[in-house]
Amino acid sequence: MSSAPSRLRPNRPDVIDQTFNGEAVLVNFRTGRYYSLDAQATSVWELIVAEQSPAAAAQALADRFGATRDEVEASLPPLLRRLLDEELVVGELDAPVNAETVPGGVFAPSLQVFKDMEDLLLLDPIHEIDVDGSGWPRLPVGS
Amino acid sequence: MATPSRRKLIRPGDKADQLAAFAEAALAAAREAERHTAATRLDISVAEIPIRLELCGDTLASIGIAALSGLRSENAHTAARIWAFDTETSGLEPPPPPWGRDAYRPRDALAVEAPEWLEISYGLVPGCLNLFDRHERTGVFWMHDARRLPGWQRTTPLRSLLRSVARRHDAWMLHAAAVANDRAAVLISGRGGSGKSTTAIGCAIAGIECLGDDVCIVRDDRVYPLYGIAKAEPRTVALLSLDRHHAIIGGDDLGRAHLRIADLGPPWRSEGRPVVAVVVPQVSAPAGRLRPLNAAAAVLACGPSTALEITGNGQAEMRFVASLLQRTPAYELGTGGDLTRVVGAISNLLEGVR
Repeated sequence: MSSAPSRLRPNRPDVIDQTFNGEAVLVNFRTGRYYSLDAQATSVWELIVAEQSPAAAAQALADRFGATRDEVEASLPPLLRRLLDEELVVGELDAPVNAETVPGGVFAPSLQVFKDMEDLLLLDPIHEIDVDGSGWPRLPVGS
Repeated sequence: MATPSRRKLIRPGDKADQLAAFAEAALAAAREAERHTAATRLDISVAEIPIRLELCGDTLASIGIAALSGLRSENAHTAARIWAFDTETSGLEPPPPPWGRDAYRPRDALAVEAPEWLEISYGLVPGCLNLFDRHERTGVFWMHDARRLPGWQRTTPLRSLLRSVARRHDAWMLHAAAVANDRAAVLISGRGGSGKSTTAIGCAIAGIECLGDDVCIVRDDRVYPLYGIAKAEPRTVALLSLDRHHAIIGGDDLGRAHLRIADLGPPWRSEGRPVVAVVVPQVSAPAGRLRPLNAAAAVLACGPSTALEITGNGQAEMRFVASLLQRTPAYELGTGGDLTRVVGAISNLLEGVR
């Protein structure tokens, strides 16, 4: 597998991950969202964690999942765009990509998003802080 | 060779050293508050870890005793010591923080360059400092006025610091309810609103020991209780006629009733029981139906809720949940409908019947 460096990297420390039986669970502490990645998306995620370029590993991904290189190359950009949009990774894509593009064929990595715990963080008033004379934060009345 | 005190090593321009100096001053203020207020001492055992609490002032003492006195211990040895004080009662406070307003992050996190021995967090609502020195095994909780502690936090006092102490002993605070008999425990884990508390409280009323409705500790694959207060939504109070059990001791601004677990059913005991199953309530499934859950799905149901609910970076907790689920069978438990069927299914798991 190629070890070409990736221009994307996990958005640490805001994002943690745990891979279990080949499927990753990701948690974004900044947004309160969490994610389930299927085996194909997990393989891509693991490349990013290892600071390798998923695009450079397209042939290896195709071999692993019985897909063609073209299928992998068509499916990767929307997934990477999605990872960026969800603030799971930081960095740059090589070219603009529409995240709504639905990948087809054998290689169709998927990422499922769960938003039921978002409220936990949305209530955190970190943007309303004022610091008083003692140096300790004060929140507006009603926060 | 004698180890020089950290104070002598402090370099004024170094951010980590500024935090070290701050931590020392905060601890000194806490010790002073202990003397000023004739603090209430509470020795507890959390997952067999002996911890001494110095609760300064009547408000913090009553909150701590209500939630934690069920863990009272006679152990003379102390693995950690925690001071809790507020300025309103003691007239004392830590020095101004050596960080700016941009350091505050969600989930009580602080973006500061702390030395490796220091864990530090600040909860903006209602404004409380948690500071734990891993080397000295000392912790400080401080806020301006303990009377402002919201009801929902009064049921789980000192959570951040108790988590820090537990982690040092390979004991893990999980966002889960737990029920048990003499020989076994079942963890009930899942998202908020999935029926964890209702199931755990229903079990207690039916005679199954409830170790906790929201938080518990797992150490060496044994489940231990932590807080002796459960919270019940109004619909749960009505469903289980909880007002007849004389267990309601208060409520919170979220409309939930607070219940003393020991008053609901069997005696509340602090010893751990081996975990035999993890169940994930599913309100859309028929009551009492148990279906094996593959471990990846179980990690998804249990891991993020613990990581997001517990203060600090939850990576270690996620890893622990995953490892626990490699050793422990997980089930989806239907909770839609008749609660007696739900309780029956859990009772069967505890008795080893599936």
